[in-house]
Amino acid sequence: MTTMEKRLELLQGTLDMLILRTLLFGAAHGHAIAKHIQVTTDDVLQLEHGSLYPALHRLERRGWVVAKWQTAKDRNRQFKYYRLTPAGRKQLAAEGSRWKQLARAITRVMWPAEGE
Amino acid sequence: MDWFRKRRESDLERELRDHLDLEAEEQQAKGLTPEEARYGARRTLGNTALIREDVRQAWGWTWLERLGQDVRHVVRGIRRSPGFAIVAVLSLAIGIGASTSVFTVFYAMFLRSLPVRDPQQLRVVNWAGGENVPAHSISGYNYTVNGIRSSGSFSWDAFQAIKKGSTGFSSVAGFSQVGVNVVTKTQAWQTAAQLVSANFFDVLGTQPAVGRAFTADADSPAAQPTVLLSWRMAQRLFGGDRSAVGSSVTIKQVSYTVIGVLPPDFAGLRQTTPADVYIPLARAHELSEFYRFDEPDTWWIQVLGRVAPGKRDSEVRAALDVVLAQVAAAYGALVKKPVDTPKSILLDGRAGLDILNTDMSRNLRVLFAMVGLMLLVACANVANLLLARGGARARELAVRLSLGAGRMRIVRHLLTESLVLALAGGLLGLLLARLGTVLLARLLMQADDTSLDLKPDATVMAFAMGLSLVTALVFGVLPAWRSTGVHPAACLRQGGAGAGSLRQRLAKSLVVVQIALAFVLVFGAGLFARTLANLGSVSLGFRPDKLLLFSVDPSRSGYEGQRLIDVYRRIHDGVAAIPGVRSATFSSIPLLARWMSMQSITVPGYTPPPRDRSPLNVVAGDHFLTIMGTPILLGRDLSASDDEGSAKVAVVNQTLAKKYFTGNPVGREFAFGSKFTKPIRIVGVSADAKTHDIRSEIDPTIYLSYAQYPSRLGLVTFEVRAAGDALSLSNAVRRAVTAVDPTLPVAQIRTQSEQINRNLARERTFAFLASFFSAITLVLACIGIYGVFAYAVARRTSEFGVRMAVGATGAQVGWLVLRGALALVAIGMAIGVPAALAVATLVRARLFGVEPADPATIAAAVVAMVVAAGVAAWMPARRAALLDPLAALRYE
Repeated sequence: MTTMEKRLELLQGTLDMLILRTLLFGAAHGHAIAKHIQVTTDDVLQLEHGSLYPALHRLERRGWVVAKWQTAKDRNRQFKYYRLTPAGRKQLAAEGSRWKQLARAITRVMWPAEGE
Repeated sequence: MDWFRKRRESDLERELRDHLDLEAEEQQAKGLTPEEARYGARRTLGNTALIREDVRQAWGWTWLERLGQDVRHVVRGIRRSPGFAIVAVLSLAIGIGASTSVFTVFYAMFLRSLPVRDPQQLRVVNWAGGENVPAHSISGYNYTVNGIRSSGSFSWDAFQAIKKGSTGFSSVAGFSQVGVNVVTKTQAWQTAAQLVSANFFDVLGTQPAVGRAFTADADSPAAQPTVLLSWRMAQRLFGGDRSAVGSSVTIKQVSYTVIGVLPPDFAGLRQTTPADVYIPLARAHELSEFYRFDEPDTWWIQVLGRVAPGKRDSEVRAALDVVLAQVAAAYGALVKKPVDTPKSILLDGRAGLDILNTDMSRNLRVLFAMVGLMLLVACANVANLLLARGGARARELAVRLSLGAGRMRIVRHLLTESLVLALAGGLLGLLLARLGTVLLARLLMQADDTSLDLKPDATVMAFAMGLSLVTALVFGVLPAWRSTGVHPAACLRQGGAGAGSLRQRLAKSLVVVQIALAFVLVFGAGLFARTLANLGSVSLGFRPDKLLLFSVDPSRSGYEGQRLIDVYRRIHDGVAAIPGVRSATFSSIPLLARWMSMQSITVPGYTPPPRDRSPLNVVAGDHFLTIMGTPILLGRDLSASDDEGSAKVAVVNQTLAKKYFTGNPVGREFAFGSKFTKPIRIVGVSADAKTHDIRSEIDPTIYLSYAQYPSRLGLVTFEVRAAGDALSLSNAVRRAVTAVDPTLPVAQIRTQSEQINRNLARERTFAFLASFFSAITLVLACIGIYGVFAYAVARRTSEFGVRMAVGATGAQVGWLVLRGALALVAIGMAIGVPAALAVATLVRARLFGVEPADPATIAAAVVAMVVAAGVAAWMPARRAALLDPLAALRYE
């Protein structure tokens, strides 16, 4: 129970950005993406693994990622790997800067002293 | 599509299973039992059914799937209101079918390439030049405009020079036309033959279906006589193509061996009037004394060339001009006179030579305009139906819009509906066009003889389908945009009547357009109907009833001079002796078949003005005028006593008598040509009678006795006056001619009335089709008027109730509705009348005895429109008039 309270709900629309950011390191399959987001945020973000897949397919349809069945390096089994496209990279940059602006604006309102 | 979906589903399935496996592995590594690990993995992933649903949503629909969805939806909608769909599809089908029919004929005649190798390289050479081009007698077409003569015929010398010169043609062939009697042991046919140089089929790029083409030695007059037959002639004469090859036929007493039969789809360069026999050009002089190899001023050979690859037409023309200049100069040197040099013209031969039929091309353009108008009215009609349907569906669309459907999405859906209707109309139209094309060809050409291939091919299909798409856009876009331009909330609040008044205005505008277009067609139909009626009531000057015609040409079977005169006489006597024949005669031209023979005359005391039109002459049998029913006003008719031995005589018509003589011309003399030698004595004056064309004014005409002018005879038409039904004499007439000479073919048996009908084919076609099209557009416009006012009455029910409650009578309310309809008609006319008058001036040349702005026809068309609109608005008006005020007030 306590751990659940510590976790935060993912803000609407940010999941796509997180996925794209994760893929910046290279191609990955769904499970690895989920794990990476969870680990890097120290388990703070509550990520329902199931919501990852509609997001991935949406990104694929928009042309920001491409998917390919590939054999994993560490085992003899094929997984569906997602890779960032140039369009996806551009989208990530755009969304990142938008997000930064938003966060800065909110910070200035909430904690005026800490602002620049 | 299904395969694609399945593949995608199984991919997703596998992807989710992989995730569960990996997560379970991980949890197991943390020390959970496999059972617990599986369960934990499932919990972190969440509800897989829900995930799959969400992913599917993310996939969205491909455009193809969406189209399929739309089409299914549309078909469901159409099934719910089939009446709407039937009216829409039928009106489109008639419009598209009629347009496609006209296009098919136009395309077959003027656009489609001949079924030969590389037709785009084919050129036919013509020339144009001044009055002094050394072509003193020309066979084939030949006309002079503003002192410039042009023609498609060349002399033998000119043809040889073109053939041998380096002109940029890779090959050159010559051809010419001649009429022949083709005789076998059992049959005799009078038919058109083409004289061709030996390489003709090579140059044209076609091969016989059976047998072989001519070899080079066929160009020598000494070669064994050989012929090729058309497919249908081989069927007629020998019942097949294979048995034909090697058989022989007799043409003008010479036996020819059939060496080949041409393919069934081959109809030569003139597909509307195809030749059935192909004879080497070297034998031309045997078949027509006019076709001379030794006279440089007799021009009778047409020239077909194949442009060498890479050569431009301008280069070929320049080279041809050099050759023609040399030919003209050589002639000038021969006769020691200055000559004009002809300049060459190259006609594109890819679609054959029917392109020269400009009259037919113009006729088809007029028909195109008519069917185009009708199609537009059909489009307006369907647009109106769609608008009305959009009104009825306003609530459904508002619900969909407020539930978040994009406007584009709904517009697309509505356009899909238009497309489905248009394509259904197009397909049905193609079926109708198959009938329409045959009907149109029969009406326009009146010929059982045309070899025009009118089967719809890919181009025709593409035309029909393209037209369907265009019509879908024309009638679909506006209603679709209009129907979705509603404010959903307002629409839902007002119970679907939100955009009613605007839609009503739009619908009324469409009806005005329909009325205006329909008026143009109705007016046109009136003009053409009056033209036909006027032509039908023209006084012919002879009696055409109970008259059987047939043609026979003994000269093509070798009869000449006295023998020719004798054989005509024997045929006449044989035919006259048939029971049921009152009398028989014959003439050098069939009457009212657009044939004529003109020759200038000299009359002492008459000075011709410059460019005087020469009189017509008809060489005829004994008592020709009397038998034809043309009164002899002075003197006597031609008779048996006017024969070879007696003095040359003539009967002239009244117009000639008035033009060249003062007082009674009987007993006076004239001569043919420009000098008064070999005088001819006038023995009678006849009343005026039409000879070549119903439309033309009657020319001065000379009637000559056949026995005195055998050299002017060849093909003659016998006129047989029957006691009863003329056509029933056909077989007896054939037997009578066969009894005289079994090798003489009887051709073109028809009645004089049929001949007149053929002469009026164009007017009949126009009058018939214009009436038909205008009837359809009137019905369509009426449907439009009815629809608009039925809807208006439904909308204004409560208003009418109030009016009646405060004292208006039913008649007053009904009149209110009728007045609305008449107002639309008035606006429609305000546009339609000037438009119709403008259009009518364009067809002036196709009218007879009626002005393009004929007030009576305008009045009749206006009355027709008003009556039609009144009838259409009558039912809604009546419904309004019979409203029960109480019920009307409670309405809504």
